[in-house]
Amino acid sequence: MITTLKYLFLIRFRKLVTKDDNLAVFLLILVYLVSAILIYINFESFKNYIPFLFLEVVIYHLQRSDLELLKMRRNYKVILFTEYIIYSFPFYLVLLLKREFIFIIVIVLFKLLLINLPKINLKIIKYPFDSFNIYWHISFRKYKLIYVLPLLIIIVFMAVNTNNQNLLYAVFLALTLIACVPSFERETTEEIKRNPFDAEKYLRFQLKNSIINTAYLVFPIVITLSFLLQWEKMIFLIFIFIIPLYNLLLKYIYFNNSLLQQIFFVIFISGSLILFGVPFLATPFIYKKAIKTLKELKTC
Amino acid sequence: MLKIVINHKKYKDKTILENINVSINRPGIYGVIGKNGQGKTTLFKCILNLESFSGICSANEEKVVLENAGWVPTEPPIYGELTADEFYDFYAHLLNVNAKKGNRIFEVPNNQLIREFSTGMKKKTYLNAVFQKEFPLYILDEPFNGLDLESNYLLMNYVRELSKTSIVFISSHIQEILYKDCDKIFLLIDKNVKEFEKNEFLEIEKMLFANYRKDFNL
Repeated sequence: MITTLKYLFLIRFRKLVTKDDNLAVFLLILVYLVSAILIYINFESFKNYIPFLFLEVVIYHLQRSDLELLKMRRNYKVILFTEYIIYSFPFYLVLLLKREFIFIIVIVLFKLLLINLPKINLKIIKYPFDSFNIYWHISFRKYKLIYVLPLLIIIVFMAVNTNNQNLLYAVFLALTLIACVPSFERETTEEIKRNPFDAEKYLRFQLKNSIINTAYLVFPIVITLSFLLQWEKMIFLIFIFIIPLYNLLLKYIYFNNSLLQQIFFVIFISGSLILFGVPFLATPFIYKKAIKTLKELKTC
Repeated sequence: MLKIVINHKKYKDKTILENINVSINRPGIYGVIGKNGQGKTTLFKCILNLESFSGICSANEEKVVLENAGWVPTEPPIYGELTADEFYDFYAHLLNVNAKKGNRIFEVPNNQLIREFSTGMKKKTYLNAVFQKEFPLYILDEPFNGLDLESNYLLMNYVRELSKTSIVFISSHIQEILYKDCDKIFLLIDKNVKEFEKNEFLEIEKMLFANYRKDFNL
């Protein structure tokens, strides 16, 4: 079991760094541990957002294609559970030190449920998304993102009834992250080359597509907020549109390295929050750089 | 030795397989053919109990599990992030055997990441990994897809050796290979299985292409 786990972690690292790059692996682990320490120090500020840290495990599990392979071991569920526990261990430690025992139990139970979930052939939903970027359809089908939407609507009701602003912001954040998921996926360079538009027009169509599809996603929440007469809260909905656009630009800047895109995405978001939107001043530069990379992808 | 009883296998309301009752009493090569979407892979997954269905599949009175069968799907689940040697070692640990050193059936670069391999090389790597252990039952779902002529030849030779002591199921759309080596062929048609002994193989085409023969007066 230990060897199997060793390989499963090796595979995770190899998805991010090149073979035998032990320094990069060490740095990744270091960043992971430092973020856990930072969360421990600023626990009160991060408390409401901690479930998002465990979200990656859910996404990883849902898109695993190796379950059939692992089923060769009778104890494959134990292997999966141990892998997920080790992966999130620094954050469990934070929760343990902060005596959030119920939180730990809920997350552990959720992981157990996830591992034991039978394979369900869910109904194929036809989405109204604009198909210029087909990864909206793909992401929603792959990660079953649509099933989060009813939950978010319920949370909006709860947030308004209990007058809890933070809960409402958490819903906006979740929506923003969902709208960003398709821009973390990558089309093949052949698709970019084959497209008859020049780099700038291609990027503009991608941005337009992101706005249209985000509007479809935000629409049910707008209806709910209107129904609850929360007009002033709707101003924040603009961020749900803007952030995926930036992620799209970052995707094309770092087209060949998704890890760099993720790192700069986090830096950009946190920088905007801390510095009151100062990173937005770099928009023209980011836009031009994205076009430049796209031109290179189209011609090389 | 191997008993396959599938009363029915459904996906939602669509029945894929029904009333299948097959017994295999001796080792050998058993071909499985059928048009696309007739349920070849579903049949294999039912045999391996990877899918839920009404019925039972057992080998020597015991339920067939993945642990005791060499299963090679059409598109093998292989980790692109490992090298071939690492994958053999990983697979050997899953099988609970010591990783075989030295000669393997197929030659592939050992220290290159699998994601850099061609489709055929990925399949060869997976086959090498599966053949590290001797199983009483092998199920090879379209194993020739992506393999070159030399590899097909090597694979068939190896399968012939295996079939002396094990039951080997092979599905393929290349009938000639199956006609030459199979002891029996199972044709999946109309959700059911029809068995053909070696001397009846020519009947398979008649049944498979009955409609075309009528249309073209053949």
